[in-house]
Amino acid sequence: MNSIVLDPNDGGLTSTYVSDGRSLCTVSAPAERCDEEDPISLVCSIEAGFRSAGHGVPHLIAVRAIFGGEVFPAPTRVTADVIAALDSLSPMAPLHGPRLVNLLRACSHTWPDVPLFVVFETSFFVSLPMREQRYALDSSTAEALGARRWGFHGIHHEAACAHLRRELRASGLREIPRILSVCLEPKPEAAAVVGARPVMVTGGTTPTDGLPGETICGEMDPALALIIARRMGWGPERVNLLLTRESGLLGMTGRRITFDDLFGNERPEEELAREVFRYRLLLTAGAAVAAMGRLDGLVFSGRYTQAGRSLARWLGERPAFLPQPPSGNRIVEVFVRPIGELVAEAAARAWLTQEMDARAGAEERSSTAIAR
Amino acid sequence: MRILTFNCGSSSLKYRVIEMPTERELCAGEAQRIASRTAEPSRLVHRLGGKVETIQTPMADHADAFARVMELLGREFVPDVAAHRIVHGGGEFDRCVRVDSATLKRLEAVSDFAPIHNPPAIRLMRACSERHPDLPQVAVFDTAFHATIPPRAATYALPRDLCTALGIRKYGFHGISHHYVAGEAARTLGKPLERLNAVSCHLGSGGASLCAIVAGRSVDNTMGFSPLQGLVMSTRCGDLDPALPLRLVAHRSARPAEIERELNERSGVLGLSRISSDLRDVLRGAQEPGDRALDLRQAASVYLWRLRKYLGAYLAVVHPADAVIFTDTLGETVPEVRHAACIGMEAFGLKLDVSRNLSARNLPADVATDDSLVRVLVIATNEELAIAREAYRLFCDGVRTEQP
Repeated sequence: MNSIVLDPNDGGLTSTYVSDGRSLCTVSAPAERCDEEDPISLVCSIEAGFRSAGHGVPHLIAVRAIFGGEVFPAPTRVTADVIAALDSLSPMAPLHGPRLVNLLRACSHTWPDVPLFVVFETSFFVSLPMREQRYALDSSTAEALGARRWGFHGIHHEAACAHLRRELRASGLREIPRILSVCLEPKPEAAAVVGARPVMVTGGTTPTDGLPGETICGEMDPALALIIARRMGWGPERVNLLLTRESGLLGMTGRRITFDDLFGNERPEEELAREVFRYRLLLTAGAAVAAMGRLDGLVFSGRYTQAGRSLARWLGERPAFLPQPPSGNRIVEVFVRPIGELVAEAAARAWLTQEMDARAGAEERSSTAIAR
Repeated sequence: MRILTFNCGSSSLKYRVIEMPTERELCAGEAQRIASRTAEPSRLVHRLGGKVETIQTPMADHADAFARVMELLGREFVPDVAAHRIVHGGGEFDRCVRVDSATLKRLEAVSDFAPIHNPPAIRLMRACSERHPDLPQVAVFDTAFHATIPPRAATYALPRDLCTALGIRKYGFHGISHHYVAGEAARTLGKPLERLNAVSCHLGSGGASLCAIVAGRSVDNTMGFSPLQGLVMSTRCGDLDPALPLRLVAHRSARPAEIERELNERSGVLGLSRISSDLRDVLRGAQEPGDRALDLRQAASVYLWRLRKYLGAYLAVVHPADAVIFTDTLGETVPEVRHAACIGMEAFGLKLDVSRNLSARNLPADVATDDSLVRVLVIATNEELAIAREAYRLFCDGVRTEQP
């Protein structure tokens, strides 16, 4: 089975040709090109590129989306209604929303006969328990702002946890596994997952909450956003830019660095940034134990596998502060799969389910007809 | 030595006269509705022995209130030292200090950190030094106990130069109370404070915070630069996606200061429940029949869940913990709160004794099971006594250094 995965992200548009679960070829269009070029011609050139590299017409097109809200609890086959629904969600993701809608339209234009699926990062977190979802705001204020917790790396978490569940079962765990899943992307995110269900996540209404990122501040005293606005005489957009583009590792070290760089090169002048991140991760791990009652396994995913190995060692070597589960040894793993493959898998699963449902529906209809 | 303690609120002034070192309370009271602009006039509630006396008297400001209190104390309770609670010492004060004109200048420089609490306290100290120049004064800081919070916990991931320019870091609050109950816990457990690892939960009817304590020192506090961060509180939201206050500014076309007020005064338990800022009302309402109960149960669960997550986070930090301490109004009197935080925490070596927890009345009480590795202590806080102890210690040490 062959799929093309399109991933519109901060860096532009990444497209991957995935065959039988393995990515064969990846092409990236930088953000400037995505801004300037007409989406249809952009997608056409991607199609032409894969074709000239010898990759045939795919069975499936899958597009990764950051935000799907409560409307999209699963990967979804794209129809005109779906595009309209996504259009109405755009205010919640003002940057990604309109780009996504244009991209989906361009895909259905370029591959009119190939099933097109959209896979959402937020789907995994749609049914987060209310006690975890809600901030302590007046309920009408919360509603007006769409203020609830979300996770923005659900695709990684879901695949990494499924992998760790298999490992835990193989090691003899009989109870429902309790997992801390840490996704190390430019904006890292941790989730506590019981079985296949998240009960806690560090993400917020936006990715600004939670663990600090490469340029995002993460959790802080909420009054500070307002105090900075007041003291500096800045408007909300300027402060938001400070919190999302000039903070995090960049703010702490004064350098634009990745998590792999930070934890792989251990420069002494960056020790504070490492300590801050490790400490926040430790707090999150403790909170996850409180949320789940115990911790059977830890799994790191995302593009920063070097940082993942370093942090896995750091947390894994400290069983003292996170007592071992009664079931035996805790499993700590780094799950290495590129996002393109995970998106292709999720879309293929959704397609299969849809086909089976359709077949079951058809059989039901025909058996009803026979009964009549 | 008689120590007169002052605890200055925005429109109130609590006072107590404590005999040291016997720690005997001689009298106490509170000036209420200072600078009242409502129909109800200012008044003084004075407690002496078992008697409570209420005196209606106009008080235009905290200096006025101070004068009334000193008149009331009269000749019978002439204090030797006045000790003031200061909410925010900025980065300036890591211990209590004698108040003189230089201290007052330094205090004024950090006055902005707590715009509601610090200015009246400073005015009070000025009035005190003008009218009673011979009465020594001591300032005791809520932030001082947290001066030991290490950089990894105190640093926000914001640009360094901005943090330096605006004094941005985690300061932490309720330090006087956390320090006091940690001392009491160490005494209860029969070990020196310097060897105590604990999580202290100060759960007030207004503000609330948790403190992680390692070797008797604060290493983290859930409150931050301001008291807005951390737990859900009566009217404060606690942790919130930092993008949301900015969205609110844009959404309402409001000034940042107005949104700050909304997050401080109309959020938290009040915002969630829409009936009361008191968690006890919400817990009661959640038991009653009707649709409303479901909403109230959810409101309470948001408060309790946040508390539980922070308890787990801090237990990981202080591991191995000797004790979890519950104190102040909700921590001391609401067993449901302790239950929700501590049940099912065996992974940390903590086992709550459910029936001991329900029947804890005489404090201090230990409500953990006998085989729990971590004790669960319910301890009554006493910030006034803590202030008096600090002032006494400072004063005696001062006397000692003057007479070598």
